Amino acid sequence: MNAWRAVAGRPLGAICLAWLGLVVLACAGADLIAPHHPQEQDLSSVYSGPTWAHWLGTDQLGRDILSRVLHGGRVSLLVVGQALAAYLVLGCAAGVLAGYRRGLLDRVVLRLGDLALSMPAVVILLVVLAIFPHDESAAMITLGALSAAGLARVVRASTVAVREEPFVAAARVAGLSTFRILGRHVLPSVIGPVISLVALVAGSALLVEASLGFLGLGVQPPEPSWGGLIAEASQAIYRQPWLLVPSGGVVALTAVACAVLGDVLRDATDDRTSREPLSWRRMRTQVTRRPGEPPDEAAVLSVRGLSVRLADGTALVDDVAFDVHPGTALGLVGESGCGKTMTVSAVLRLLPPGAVVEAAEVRFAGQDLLSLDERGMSRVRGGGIGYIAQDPVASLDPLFTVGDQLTEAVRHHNRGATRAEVRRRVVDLLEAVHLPDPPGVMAEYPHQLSGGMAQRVAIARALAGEPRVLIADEPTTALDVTVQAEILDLLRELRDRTGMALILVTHDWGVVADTCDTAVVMYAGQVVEQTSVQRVFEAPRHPYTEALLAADPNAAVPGTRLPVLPGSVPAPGHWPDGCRFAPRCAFATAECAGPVAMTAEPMRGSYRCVHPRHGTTTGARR
Amino acid sequence: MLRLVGGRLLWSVPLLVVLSALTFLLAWLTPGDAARVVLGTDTDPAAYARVRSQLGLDRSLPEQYGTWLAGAVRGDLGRSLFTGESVAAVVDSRLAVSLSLLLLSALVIAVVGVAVGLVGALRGGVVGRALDGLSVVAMSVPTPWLGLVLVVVFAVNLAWFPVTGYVPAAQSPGGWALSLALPVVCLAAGGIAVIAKQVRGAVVEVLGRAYVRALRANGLPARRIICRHVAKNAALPVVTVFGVVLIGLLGGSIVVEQLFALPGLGQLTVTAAAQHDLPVLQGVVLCFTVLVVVVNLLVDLVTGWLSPRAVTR
Amino acid sequence: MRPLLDIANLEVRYGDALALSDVSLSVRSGQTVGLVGESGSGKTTLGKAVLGLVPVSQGEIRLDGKEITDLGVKERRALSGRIQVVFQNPYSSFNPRRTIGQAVAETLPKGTPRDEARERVGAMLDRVGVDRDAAHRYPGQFSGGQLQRIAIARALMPDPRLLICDEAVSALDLSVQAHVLNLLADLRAERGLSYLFITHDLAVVRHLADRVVVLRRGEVVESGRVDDVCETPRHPYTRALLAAAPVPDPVAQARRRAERRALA
Repeated sequence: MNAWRAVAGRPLGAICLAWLGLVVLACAGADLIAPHHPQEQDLSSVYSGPTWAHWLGTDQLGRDILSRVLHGGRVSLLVVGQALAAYLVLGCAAGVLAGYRRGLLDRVVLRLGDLALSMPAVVILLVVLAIFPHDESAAMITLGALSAAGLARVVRASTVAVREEPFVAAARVAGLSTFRILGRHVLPSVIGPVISLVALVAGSALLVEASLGFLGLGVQPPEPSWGGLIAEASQAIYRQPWLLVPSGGVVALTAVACAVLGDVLRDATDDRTSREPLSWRRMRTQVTRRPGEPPDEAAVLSVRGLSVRLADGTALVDDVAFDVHPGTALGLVGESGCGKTMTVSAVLRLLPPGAVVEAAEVRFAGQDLLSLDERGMSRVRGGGIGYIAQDPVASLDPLFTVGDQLTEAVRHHNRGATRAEVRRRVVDLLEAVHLPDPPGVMAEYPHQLSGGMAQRVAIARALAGEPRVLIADEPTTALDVTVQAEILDLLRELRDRTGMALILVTHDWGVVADTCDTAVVMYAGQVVEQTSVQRVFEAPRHPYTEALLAADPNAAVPGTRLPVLPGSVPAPGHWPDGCRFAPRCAFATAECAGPVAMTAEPMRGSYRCVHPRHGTTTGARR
Repeated sequence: MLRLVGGRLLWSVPLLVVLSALTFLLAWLTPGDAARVVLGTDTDPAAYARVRSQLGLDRSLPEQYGTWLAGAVRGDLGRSLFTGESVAAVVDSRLAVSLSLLLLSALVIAVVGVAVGLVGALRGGVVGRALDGLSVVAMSVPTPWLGLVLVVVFAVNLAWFPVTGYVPAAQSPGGWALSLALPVVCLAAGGIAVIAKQVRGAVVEVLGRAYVRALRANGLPARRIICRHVAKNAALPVVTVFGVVLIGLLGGSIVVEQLFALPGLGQLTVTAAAQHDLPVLQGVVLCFTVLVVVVNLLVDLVTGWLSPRAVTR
Repeated sequence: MRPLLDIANLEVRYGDALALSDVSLSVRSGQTVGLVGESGSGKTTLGKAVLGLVPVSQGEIRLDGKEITDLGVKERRALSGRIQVVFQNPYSSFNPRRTIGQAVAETLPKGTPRDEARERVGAMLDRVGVDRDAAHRYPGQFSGGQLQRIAIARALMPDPRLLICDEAVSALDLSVQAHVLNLLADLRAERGLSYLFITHDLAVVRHLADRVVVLRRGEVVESGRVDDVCETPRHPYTRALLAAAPVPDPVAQARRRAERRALA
């Protein structure tokens, strides 16, 4: 039902629904609506174009085309309906049964489906029509049954997917019978794609019917059908080409309506929020410069006044500034939705489509990144600033071997290197990330690697351009703790050996303590505290930092209640004015409602708070 | 890879047998048989019995089918009920026309479809939406009607191409190309739309993947990411759909050959179906089925070549 | 005292692969047992086996002394009032097309009057700290933390004795995780619940559990009181696991790192 509302709510969907409804109703009521009998001849006006008497003109016997279209539609739409009925019943039944029961039944259904899909449908229809002459119902039901294999596949796939969902497991644990699970949880989630497919198949069935009618294999003249009308029009292309317009037009319009409706339904049930489909061009991140503070020239990467906004103006990151010095590691800490990943993506200009960057300065090794175009940025990426992502397996192309992908990266960053040099460098990189048996690993495909191995390969690839800064976005979150420890050791070792700086995005205080030198804590799109790692654990200045540290069960006394914050992190677009943490803060006062700037303490760091904690000089309240 | 091909070939045997057997079974189920078709209104029982035994219709169904199958293996597909010509010879003489039409259309679909789909996926925006709309229309226009419109505009009014007919390539290569131009456009239009839509969808899907982002983060130039990684990953689903489109072309070719009076297999099928000429129909179905098997085999080969999982297993 | 849940010599196979072999453990009434292991250790499989979601090839599982290893559909249904589950991913734990109220009421016996059902769902939502109005809304309108509370509410509706928490707090942010851990501790105290707490996070187990069982590649490598295992681990794998988890203290962590490297 939600799907219908969604379709009717989109202008295109509503127009298509209206047209289909109009056509079906008009054809069903052809006896009442049609101005003439479809066989009524008027030899005084043959091949007339559109006139007041005959809105769509007349044919070679002076029969009224509009009436013939309406009556013909009754035949054509009826057999299309029969095809759809066969399609729906067979496809859904076979798909749900195969998907839910699995086993032998599943294999049989899949095999039969393969067979049906690999047959030339129209040729088979001709055989059926040769044997049952002019029986369009038989032909179209056969068409529906043959196409049902496609529906069965989709229904089966959805059923299998839903079957594995935890909510179905929860329903089984709750004691629901298979029958009720199918009715309650499986069928409703399958219905969206099914309706969308039915609409698409309706369109193509209509076209097949038109072809059969055109070939003279359908309903016998003078009985009208839409295909037959095209055949009649084909007899008169020299005398009255107009006949082509109503005959083909009604079929084409109806088929277009079906196809568009199918697409709209698919989009509506897909839960995709973005209406604008992705394109390569949209993937480029747009940047604008605004005035702000100057960068820190000693830093290898210095960011000032960085903001990220969605196309609708919602801010995701607001006025972020930080510096990374050569050979140090910076931890970007915060909970989900606070803008950590968006911040580093903005530096690399790899934001999701539609998001835009505004910044005062992004200075990398003396180079002004804001003045670069996409081509210039792609030279900085990999060669100047390396990047590794959270899910290591997904970040490798599944169709190329590890060797292929590393070779590609090495060759790109070392123009003019010989084949042997490139290969030696690839082996060196694999050894640098401590992967045993480099030649063996090079021959593997990503899906053959464990998560830890894949992350090592991803790190090796990021090192191919010898970057001066490596950004690691939650590099160990998807990995086991023992593997995490090894990867963190590796990152620390690489930093010590090459002098490269590290930006580590993480939500794990343990990772910060293990690997980082400075910590930048983010909350609701802003930096709330920036200080050394020792100080952030010993004497956090911002109440949020303090609360987040306290919530870590590592720091708590076992068996006691964990100290908690009221409420939850506000979503982008719902950030309060003034201090964004104030509504959840135990120390908030009226002063917190106004704008709060970062307060810098020489040699210590900075924080964004009116009532900082653990202070020795200013406003410490316990 | 060899096992894959072998499996598909093995799988094609039942396809061939089932389809031909089905044709037989359906023919046997219908009231009135081939003997009646041959005799027409002549209802002399003796003549009827004689023709029945001549055609082998007095034997049991499995026996008849066995005889046909044994003949088919040797290349003998029986004789037409109407002209008495050898079915194999008729099919053979018309194969070249149909193959010319089908192969040219497949080529046009592949080149134009991929190009249009890529432009949509890379440019997006207004261009993408316009191409989307055009695709929907091209997919929804009835093939015979599109053919008629093409004829009226380009053959009748502009007279750039012949209205109907076929010129063998051996006779005049230029004439051959001209005679096939409109039929190919008519047959390919729907397929181009389907492939363009599929290419666009597949490319957009791949563009959203984490590894494309990782490749960009590694500084690889756009051309290399698109031509190497995106193309190969997007090709998998497209190749499968291309196979389905090719099989669909067989059906479309029947309409197009009829419309443009091309003496190919499609036209033969329509005549045979209308005249109830089952031996010819069976021969054509067999021929089409072999084409289908070849298409499926090619699809499997390309899929296997593209995906590492099929190789390693 | 007879244990509430008693698993003896359990073996589960997926085709030829051995997912669990010779696993024994027990959970007493009111007790929390942490089941710790890395990916591929079989910890999730063990939970599924207790819930009857995967077939058991050998060994037995007893609840209150009654064997529940291979139950028919009907008997399993009767059991659903005593064992319940909370899964890792709160978003996929709910059918996006059904309201929170429908989802939470799913575990109520058939034929419960509407008013009573509404009242009981409302009371349970209150208890887990979610607004009663949530019953009319859809899962997509809630955050992960709220959904996990609602998942707990759904599991507690039939008043079970044993709750299986399969990585129930792993997908949550730190501050949200603290809320849910507190809620689980409170509910345990109020209702005398037992937890089989499946997780990869030793810190969480240490905080909540009484006993801990360490799994590795389908086998139990060590089990005992949580303090004993965490303070003086005997098995090298447990030691490696404890050493690998970083602690939020740079000085202590540097020391642990040095120790871990010496261990390797």
